[in-house]
Amino acid sequence: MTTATKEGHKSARPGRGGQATLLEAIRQGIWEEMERDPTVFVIGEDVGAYGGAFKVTDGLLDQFGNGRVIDTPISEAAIVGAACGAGLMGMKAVAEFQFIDFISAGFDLLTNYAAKCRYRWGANIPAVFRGPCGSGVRSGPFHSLNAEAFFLNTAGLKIVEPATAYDAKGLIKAAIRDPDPVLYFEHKKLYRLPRLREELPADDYIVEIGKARTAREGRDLSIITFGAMVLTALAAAEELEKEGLDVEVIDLRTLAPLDKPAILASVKKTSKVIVLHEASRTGGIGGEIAATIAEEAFEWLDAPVLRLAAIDTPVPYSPPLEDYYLPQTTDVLAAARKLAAY
Amino acid sequence: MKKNAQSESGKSVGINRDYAPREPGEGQELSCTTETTLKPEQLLELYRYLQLTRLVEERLVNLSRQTKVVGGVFRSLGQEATAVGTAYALAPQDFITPLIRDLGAVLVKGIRPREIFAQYMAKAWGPSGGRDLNIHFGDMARGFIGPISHLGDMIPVMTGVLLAARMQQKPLVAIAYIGDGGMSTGAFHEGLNFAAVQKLPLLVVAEYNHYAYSTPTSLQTAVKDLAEKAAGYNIPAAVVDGNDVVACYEVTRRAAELARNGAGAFLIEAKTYRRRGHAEHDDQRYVPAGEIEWWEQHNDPIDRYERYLLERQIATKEKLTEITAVVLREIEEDCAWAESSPMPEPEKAAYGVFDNSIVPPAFRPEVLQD
Repeated sequence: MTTATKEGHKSARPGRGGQATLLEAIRQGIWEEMERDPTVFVIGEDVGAYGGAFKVTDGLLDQFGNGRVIDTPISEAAIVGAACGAGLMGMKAVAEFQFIDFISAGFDLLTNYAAKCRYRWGANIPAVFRGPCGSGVRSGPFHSLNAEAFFLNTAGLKIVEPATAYDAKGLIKAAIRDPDPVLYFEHKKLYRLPRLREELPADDYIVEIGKARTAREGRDLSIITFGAMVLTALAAAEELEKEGLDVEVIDLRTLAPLDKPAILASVKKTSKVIVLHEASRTGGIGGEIAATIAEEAFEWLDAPVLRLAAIDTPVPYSPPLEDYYLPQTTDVLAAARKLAAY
Repeated sequence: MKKNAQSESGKSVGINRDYAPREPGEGQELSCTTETTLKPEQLLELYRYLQLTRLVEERLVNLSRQTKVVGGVFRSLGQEATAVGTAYALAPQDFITPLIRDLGAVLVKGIRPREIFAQYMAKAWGPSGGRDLNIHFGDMARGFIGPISHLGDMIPVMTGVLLAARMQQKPLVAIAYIGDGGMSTGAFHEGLNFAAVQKLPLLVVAEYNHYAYSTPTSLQTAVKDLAEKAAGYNIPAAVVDGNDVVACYEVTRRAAELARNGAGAFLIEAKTYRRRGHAEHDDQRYVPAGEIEWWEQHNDPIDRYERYLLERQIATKEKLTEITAVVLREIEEDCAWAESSPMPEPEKAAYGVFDNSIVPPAFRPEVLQD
């Protein structure tokens, strides 16, 4: 009654740790949390028998039943609203947006209900709202969104986005255990990327929300970034190393609340900063980070903070257009050389 | 017989009109329905809640004129019976999510007038500590989840409450209140559709009070009765005289019983009338001449109920006066308590966005204080 049922095909339980892609790491994390805590449940479109559009929830229905794996109509208001109401009752929803682009259809309930309940009357909503985000995969204006900037200006929502399989598992577990609503963005380009496959610990672990990670240590220049752009930054850093430039890459991991101490520590170390992200430049998170650095570490800077981000257009479909839209490794190289010359 | 979705669900879906509004007989004034399971002491308790609702609101108007209320005052004058009668049919463990004109339902769920006064006056002792207005708060222990200003949103939220209750094996039902205006929202549709699909025990009480701010119902919807919308969800519906507190109780009691036994969602349309404007500042210039006066003189829910109690000899006039006097004393005491509350400390604004044992309060930035 509550969820589409499936016949025949049965998906195996994911391993406890072991080799995992970023997607498998998220699936492991959700699975383990559902085993650990009977109040955790999954809700979304096609999350049951089909296992989700990208198969993040594959096998959960067989294991946990249709009381805890709930297929909804095509209704983001139902998904978000139900997660909120269940949260008030002490149940923890892991709610899926089929693509993060559709978060706009749940925007009202996220920003006005989920985000404000604790502040308004002390009622916390322990829910995770997750889904595939990101461009660079030729999916056009409605399946490529990076949504973080829509929510940064709303107090009450935590935002995380992992760039490694280890972080993906640790952050989904931390998000599920967090007492407040967490937006968990998954870059779809990273889901099955072979080079992100890594050995995960068999033991339970979390990655603390609010803590950035140094993806690469360096002394000359900081690139502050997150998500798939971490790979772009690392590729540029390798290239720049040949030119004698020692680049540090900070992977934010959490976008709200920002790890200001980590950002400022890196700035004070290198004195030159590029902020790199996929979403459009105007009103993007890069402006917030640049302003924070200007306010709190101005005396430490040897050059202006540069923002590298997408141009101010929707995400175009055709490869040459999308490549023009997105910041590329070559853009990072050019920006780094400009800063190095200061 | 050819099978269809309706027969497969085994449910006879339609609009019940047993308690729909009726014209009074020749030379008679409107009273309330005589068929009821309510005992005399319960009937008197209903009267107490009706008076409490009206008099709390009257006190709020006075406090507002004394500039003690910070925001607007929203009245349910003339439609108190809907909120009181429907909420009274619930069990203590059941939930409500009211709208601004359902103060009566909030009071029936056990919220005290002092909490309402403190909220309106933006006081520190109010349930939201001055962070939100009027009935925008909640009390999970008493089954009350306050609304937000965005109409329709509470329907999907309530589906989550009921899904959780199902997972927790708690046999509760819930009422979500909505109006002829709020039913125009996408959230209303998405929420009720989901509730119907999941067969959740959700009673939607749709108050047809003729106006959403200034917009008449004819500009909100093309249906004549809001109950007709139930057909789109394949759920049963009833039309009730929203100014007949006994009818409101009976319709809701039956719907709640069905829902508790697994029948799923139910739409109750209550026909009533909003006699004051959207809030007290509203001059109601859009209302045709004489309309408000007609409802006041011929279809006031408290007048009708007093007539009913007296005609059926459930109470004497003296008894009703005594109940009202007790209500007024409670209001005096609670209002004094709320007035004695301090305003919130300014720095309290920074607390409580997140669990502050994990994320520090959002104080003003140090960089501006150096």
